[in-house]
Amino acid sequence: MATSTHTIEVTGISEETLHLLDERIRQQGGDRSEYIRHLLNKDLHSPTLSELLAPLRQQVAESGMSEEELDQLFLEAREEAYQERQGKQR
Amino acid sequence: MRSDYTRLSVVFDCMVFLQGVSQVTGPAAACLKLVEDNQVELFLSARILTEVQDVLTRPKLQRKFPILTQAYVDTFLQALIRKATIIPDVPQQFAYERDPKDEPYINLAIASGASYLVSRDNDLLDLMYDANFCIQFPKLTILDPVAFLRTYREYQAIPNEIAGYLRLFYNLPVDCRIDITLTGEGMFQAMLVNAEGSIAKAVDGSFKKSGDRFILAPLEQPELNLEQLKVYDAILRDFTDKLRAGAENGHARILLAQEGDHLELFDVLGDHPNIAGSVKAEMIAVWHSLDNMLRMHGYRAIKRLPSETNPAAILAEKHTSSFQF
Repeated sequence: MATSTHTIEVTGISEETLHLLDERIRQQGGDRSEYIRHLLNKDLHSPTLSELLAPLRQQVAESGMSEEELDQLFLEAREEAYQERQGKQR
Repeated sequence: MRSDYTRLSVVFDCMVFLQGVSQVTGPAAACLKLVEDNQVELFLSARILTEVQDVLTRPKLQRKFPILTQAYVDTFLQALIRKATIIPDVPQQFAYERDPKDEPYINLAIASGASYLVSRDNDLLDLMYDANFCIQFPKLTILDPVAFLRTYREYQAIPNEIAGYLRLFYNLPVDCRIDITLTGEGMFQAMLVNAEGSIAKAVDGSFKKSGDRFILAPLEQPELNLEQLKVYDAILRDFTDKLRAGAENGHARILLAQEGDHLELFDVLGDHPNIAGSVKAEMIAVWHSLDNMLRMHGYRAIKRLPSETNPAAILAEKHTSSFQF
């Protein structure tokens, strides 16, 4: 595959963002271009939140549970998790 | 801490995540979609991620929805993290006996400087009726997903409202483009771009939205001559240091100058009824620049009249907006 030579110029990068970027690059090695290429590829080739959630949402829809039933299930699960964490802390 | 003023900043409570992930439609799902589309800045902490992960992988949920394996939930959380800003250190600034489960969400909102905490939980929503809480954390609004979505739509309309106002104010031709950037709380920068693409004017300004009222104040920097610039630079440094120190100490009012300070700029402060009247005539342009600088930092200048105990002074007072973002 031919090496791409496309160039993107990005404006509106704050000093703080640039500082954080350079700090991250310093920790990981490489340079700005390499890091940003990696980020772009990683982001663009990852599924979106909606794509990831689609099968869960389908299972929820197929369960036939009403919104109230679903809320109740979540509330119970949250309370159960909380009580378990409290129990471990005691 | 928050540094992005182009988007609303927000913390979601656990139930908003749970409702949002499980449904295609509905207010919570719409809130999550705003995060997915980078339309709002979502803050997260390790504690909140742990709770969402813990709840989603409970056996009672997995029995109903078998896709909720540890790996699936981890993948979702990684995708969420990529869209959010993680606050690594969230101090416990607020204890909430009524429902301790909510504390991490309130404390994350406080630590991150988020303007909104979105929840349908009355334990959280009722905090907006708690005067002590509102005084202690005046920048935080707790609202339900429907109200948050309404606020988001209002926020989206602000650049257009500013552009419309500026178009009338400067009597701009229709082919002149106006690019608006929101630069701080209630602050904007506008670039008025000619049809051929050159920048005709750059305008900084402040705005305030209160109900249906939209108040806007463009701040044009006057041109200063060399002598005025020297005075401006010297006083700017002094004012900036005082603002920084005052802000760090949480002072609502910060002393900028009192009688006898900066004689090159001010006449005797006590002799005049307002600040502009206290400024030497040839230095009015300098004061306008300094005053604009204060407003750009969210302050307004007020004058303290002399009393038996205090000399006349100019103070900076943080101005509050009823529309926070």
